[in-house]
Amino acid sequence: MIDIDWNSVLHQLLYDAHNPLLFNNGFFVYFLVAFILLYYLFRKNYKHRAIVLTVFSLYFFYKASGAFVGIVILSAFFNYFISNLIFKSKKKSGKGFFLFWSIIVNLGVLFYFKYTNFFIEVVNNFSDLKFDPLHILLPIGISFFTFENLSYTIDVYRGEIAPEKGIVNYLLFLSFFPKLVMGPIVRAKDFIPQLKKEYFVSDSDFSRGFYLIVTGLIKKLIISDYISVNLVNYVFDGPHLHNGLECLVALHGYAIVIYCDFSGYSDVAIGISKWMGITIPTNFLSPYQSKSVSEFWRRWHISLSSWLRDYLYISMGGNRKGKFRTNLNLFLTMLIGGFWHGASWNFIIWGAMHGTGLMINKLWTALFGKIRILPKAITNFIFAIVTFHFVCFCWIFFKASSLDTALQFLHQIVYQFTFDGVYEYVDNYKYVIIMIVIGYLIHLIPDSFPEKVIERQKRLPLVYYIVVMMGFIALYSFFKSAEPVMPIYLQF
Amino acid sequence: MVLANEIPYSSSMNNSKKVITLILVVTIIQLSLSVFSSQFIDYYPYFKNVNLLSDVLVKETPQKEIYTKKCKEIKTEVGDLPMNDFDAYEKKGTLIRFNSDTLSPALQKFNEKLIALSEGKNVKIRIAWFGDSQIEGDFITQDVREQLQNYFGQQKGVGYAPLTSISSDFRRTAKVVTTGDIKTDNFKKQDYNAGLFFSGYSFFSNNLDVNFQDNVRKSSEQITQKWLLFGRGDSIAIKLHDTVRKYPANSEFNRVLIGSGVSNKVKFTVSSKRTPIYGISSEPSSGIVLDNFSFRGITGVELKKLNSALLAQINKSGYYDLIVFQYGVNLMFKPNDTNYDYYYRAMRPVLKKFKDNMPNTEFLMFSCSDRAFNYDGTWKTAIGIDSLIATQARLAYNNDIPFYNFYKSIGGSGTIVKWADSTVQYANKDYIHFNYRGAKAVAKTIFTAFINDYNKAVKLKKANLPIVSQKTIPTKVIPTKAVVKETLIKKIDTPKTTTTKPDISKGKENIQKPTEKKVDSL
Repeated sequence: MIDIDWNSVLHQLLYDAHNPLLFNNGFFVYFLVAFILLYYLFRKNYKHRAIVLTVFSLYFFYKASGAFVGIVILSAFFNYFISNLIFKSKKKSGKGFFLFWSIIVNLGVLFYFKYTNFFIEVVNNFSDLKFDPLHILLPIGISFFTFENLSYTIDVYRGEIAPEKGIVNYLLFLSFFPKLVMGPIVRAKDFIPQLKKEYFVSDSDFSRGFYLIVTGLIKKLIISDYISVNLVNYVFDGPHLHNGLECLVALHGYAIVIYCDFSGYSDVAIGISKWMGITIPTNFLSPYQSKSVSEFWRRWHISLSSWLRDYLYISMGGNRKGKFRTNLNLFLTMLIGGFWHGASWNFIIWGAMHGTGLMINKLWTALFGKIRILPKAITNFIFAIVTFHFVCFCWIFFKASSLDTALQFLHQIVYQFTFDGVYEYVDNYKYVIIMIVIGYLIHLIPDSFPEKVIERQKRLPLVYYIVVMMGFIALYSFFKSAEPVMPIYLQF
Repeated sequence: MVLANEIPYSSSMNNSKKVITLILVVTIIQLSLSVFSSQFIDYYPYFKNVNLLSDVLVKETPQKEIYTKKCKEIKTEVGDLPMNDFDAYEKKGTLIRFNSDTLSPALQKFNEKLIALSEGKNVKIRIAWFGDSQIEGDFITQDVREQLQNYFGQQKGVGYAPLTSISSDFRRTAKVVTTGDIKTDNFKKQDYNAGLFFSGYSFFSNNLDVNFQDNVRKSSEQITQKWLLFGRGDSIAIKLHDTVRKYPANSEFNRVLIGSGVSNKVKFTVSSKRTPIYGISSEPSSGIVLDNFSFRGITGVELKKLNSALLAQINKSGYYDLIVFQYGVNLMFKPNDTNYDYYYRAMRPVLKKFKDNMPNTEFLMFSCSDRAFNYDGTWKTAIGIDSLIATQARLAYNNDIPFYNFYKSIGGSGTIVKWADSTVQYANKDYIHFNYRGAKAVAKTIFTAFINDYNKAVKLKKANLPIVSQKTIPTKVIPTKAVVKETLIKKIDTPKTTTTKPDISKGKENIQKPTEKKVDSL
């Protein structure tokens, strides 16, 4: 009936660079089952439970990123010890000294892996020196766990928390597998205390976890992947091959792709954590409903924006040093935040644009904030539209592989815009367009709706959850082999 | 979707058992379905995407391997056919002339002229490079041109540029800015029923200001000629430096020298109500000219729309030494297509038309490059690609046209996936087009193949052996691999007879000294 290839079984257990572990790998199912069984078995003893969770998290990291798992372990040890040194230092200068080294080492590692080649390129472009780029692979999740380390040592320095006594708990905080690859960025002071509590999943946690996992997977694996593969990727790779209309639709498609991809992953991470009795704060709150750029950043990647606010903006002086410095701090925070997303000028430009957007936002509010001409609903609608399009405009720089490509993309929209061939276009991309529309409709669902679903689900028997999960698997299987939509390269 | 803050759990019962039960039940159901998947996979084929055992089961032979195996079986069965020469089409990195004599170059007169050029003679070698969106914006060709021009005399020039096209503002090597009303006919839309040029375009305008700039880097002393190319009509008026001159348009292909000097720019006004304007050519007075004729979304069959009279006229003048056909990716629009006989039937008369009308020109046929499709969630090279390349090779073989296995030369199966998915991308995510970096890389590969061929000619010349081989091919018509069996019974073609090509050197003389002649009605 079935013929198992035991070599393949063995191969599955090892890291495969071509097939790193993600939530949608078949292997993840086995991983989750083995993990949850042991986790449940050791539910009474939080230390044992933490060890199980740590071992599985490190194994997840190994399956996702290979030998780089060593960096997480070393990083955990380093920060564990240096945070204790910061804590034990009696004098402020001593604390500052160790914090300084914590920042240097954490950022140094991040810079080495993420930014070395960018700076080599900058030096090569702006001088006569010609360095060869280095072959450096980026360890998965390094941007996230670097920020987690920094927030931890800074919190210890500020005296907000005492350092964690158990190294295992700290290692687990860094490597906790649900949030390892794409966040959210969690804070030790929120996370570690939960490890020491009883393994408890309330009715609401169970229902919420289920809702988040299923909707998160739909957003990521069905909506985002479908639009991405069948339109967005190839338009952004070769904008010159597509007219302005195609580029514009692809841009609006990308706005959904990045939201569904990122928030979908966060939702799954939060949902799985819920099922482990651990609460991770919400990371996305329907960001495209925002009516201003500053509201957008309160709704988009909240764990990052709050990190930037607490550890960068406030550290630079925040709004305590006058209007000019406030604006400058705001701008620099976004600029650095942009650069955190990736080592290219495009991310810097993207960050600068958002920084500028925030400054204009502040100025606008100061000048016209109290003036009401139109009814509030209309004003809100106009502001939401303007904010959304500003965000979309910035996405061009975020998504394009180079500045040239971004400018070409803009050029196509401005100078090559045509409705010629629109019927062919709609006919070819009808399913992609439907998917984009679904993405926006999901986004517009009122905030109260998920709460109602979660509340109602609580009363339903287990069989309901099984049927829905099986339904999702069937849907996923269908979309995984959906006939790809080929570019039509409209000319006429 | 927004989720509100947490609800305190103290009042609720612990659902941790429910979590583990749900995960276990769903996994057991899914695992059971995977074990028994063979029983229902025909009814729900998508299940293979979520089969939990698919990674650990003994693999069945993939579809492509089955197909290739089948091809080999068919080949063995027809072992009595003289397939060896034809099989040469699978060679990579070299231009193929389908004969066992690997010492002779595939291109002959072309290489003779290259040798003459390298010896410092005043020779102009012109290449027409047909292609689809892969070469749009002068991609690939700009790099091949640059390398050929660097290698042979450093005389630069962009060659042909249309007055306008979908990719004109993207093209880096030339810039044409036009002001005024412009009407266009092209392969897809022939409102004015004008004769089309090789580019697939023709333009008309009552009054059109044209600003042309050749952006190919050249030495500041090099003189570049700027020609306006146009077709048959009544006449054409060109205003240059405030002087209007009228030129007759009696021939299918005419050209006027509108500028010659060290400047890379020319500005003029053209009025041409009934005469199709073809475009501009910016070229050195001697050296290599490579004209990019890209037209998005086509397969080469569209070239049948070019008038025989135009081809004959161009041939008469010896304007082109070499014509390259680089098509194929647009034929693979369905992931599971494996039979391209329809393409053979459609393209064959096109090639015949070129061959019949342009005996003075040599031809070179490229195979398609790599193209991938998403097969069950994984991007892989199109399963029909071997069949398409065999079909293209068969077209080349049966029309006595040298062949270049572009696909194999750039790396063969899996190349485009690797290039699109690598951190430093060489191809776009449509798994069809090379990006700027990839185009440069493939151009280098192509250039190397040209130089290898050239070096063969050089060796023969040094050994005082004739470069132009007397051996002509083919003697048998070769069917595609996929249909070999069928054509064993029913021959679809008759053996080709060979003709002696006339001497072209006389016709070329007129072109090589263009400065002496301001109007060149060819």
